[in-house]
Amino acid sequence: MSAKVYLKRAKDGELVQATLCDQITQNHLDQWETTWIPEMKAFAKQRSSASGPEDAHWDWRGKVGKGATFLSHCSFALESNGNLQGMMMANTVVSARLPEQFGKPLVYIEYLATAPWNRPETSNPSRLRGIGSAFVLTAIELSIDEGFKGRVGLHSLSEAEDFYEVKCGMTRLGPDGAHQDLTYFELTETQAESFRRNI
Amino acid sequence: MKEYPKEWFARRADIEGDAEVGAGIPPTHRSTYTRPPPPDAIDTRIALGQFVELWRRNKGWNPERLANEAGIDTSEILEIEQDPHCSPEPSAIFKLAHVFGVPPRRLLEIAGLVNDRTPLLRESAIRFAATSKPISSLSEEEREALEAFVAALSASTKS
Amino acid sequence: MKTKRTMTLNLTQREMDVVQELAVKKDLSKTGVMKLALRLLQNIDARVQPGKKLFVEDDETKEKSELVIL
Repeated sequence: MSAKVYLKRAKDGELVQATLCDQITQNHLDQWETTWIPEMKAFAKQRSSASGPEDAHWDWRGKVGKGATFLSHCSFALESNGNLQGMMMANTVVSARLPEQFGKPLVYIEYLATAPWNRPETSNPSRLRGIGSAFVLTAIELSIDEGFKGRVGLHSLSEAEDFYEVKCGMTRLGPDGAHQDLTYFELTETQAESFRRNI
Repeated sequence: MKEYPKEWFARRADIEGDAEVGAGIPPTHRSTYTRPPPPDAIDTRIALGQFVELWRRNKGWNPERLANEAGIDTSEILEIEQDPHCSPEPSAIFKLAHVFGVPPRRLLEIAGLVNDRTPLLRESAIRFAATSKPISSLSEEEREALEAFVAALSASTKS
Repeated sequence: MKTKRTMTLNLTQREMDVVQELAVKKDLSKTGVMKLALRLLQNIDARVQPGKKLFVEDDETKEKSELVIL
């Protein structure tokens, strides 16, 4: 199943239609391997860095394969112009940590990444904006469908903390030693509603 | 998912701008928070650095080759080899253990990244550090020391 | 496919009380509680194989106690 979403092209502000698929398929994984990885490697070479972006070595095929058999796991892919623009994996058996919603189930975003050509450091004028927001909205809607009232949690990559705290309105709970000190964020029911209403 | 109007996405894209949006545990993540090493980790970290260097020299690899094989930064290899005060990322140690064919838990212990320490392993590490010297080609003594240390790392985890 | 099917569940009064209690605690519907239980069971079943144990660890004292799953 899929849903229609829109992304904004950086160079001219034009809205581009995209498709949010409610499952990462083999086709998506093939695209990840044949288009994302070479682009990340090229970027790394250009910057004389051995590693490239923070998620350059993520094994999406392994992660999706591992989660596929579990009811608790959901995956999503964002496509536009026939190209894979972003991917997300979520888990629905994780409990909230914020005191006001402690122990209540939420949608935990295990992984979220955009295609390398959409990232700010590439300076690609045709990069698409709004992918993170589309996925956060997807997680909120999934949370509502599951009866979790919009509660969402995630561990942010270090450079994305501002996006989640300031632009999405999530609550920062601090570095988590059990997750390589990545900062953990949560969205409450009220914050989710504000996000959905675009406040 | 319920359909949202174009305007919703347009406004959110403007708010998002050129922000980084990634989430999840990346294998190459370097946290900004520095966890202090356990007080006696420096000894075994010296051994770790020398072990990594000897192992790759034994294979005829430069640091970049080892980094590529393990899927980590070359800078991380260099830090591990040269600076016992640096705190390596657990994921990097895990990947190196896989390349070296030694139990990850043991290498994490040598790196000072786990709390439960095996006394015998620590002794082996210190002995190894004392007998191996970082010169360009491995001496017979270094090769023997390297093999003995690999054996100690791979020893039964039932201890 | 996300088509849904209906199942009728016969529970004892005690079991119903527990479902109701968890529904309030977790802020879920009774159906939500049953679905969450199913997902958790599937996850735990996959992880706890012969030779593996499931532990609960006290964050402060670091004391571990085994959660026995039959």
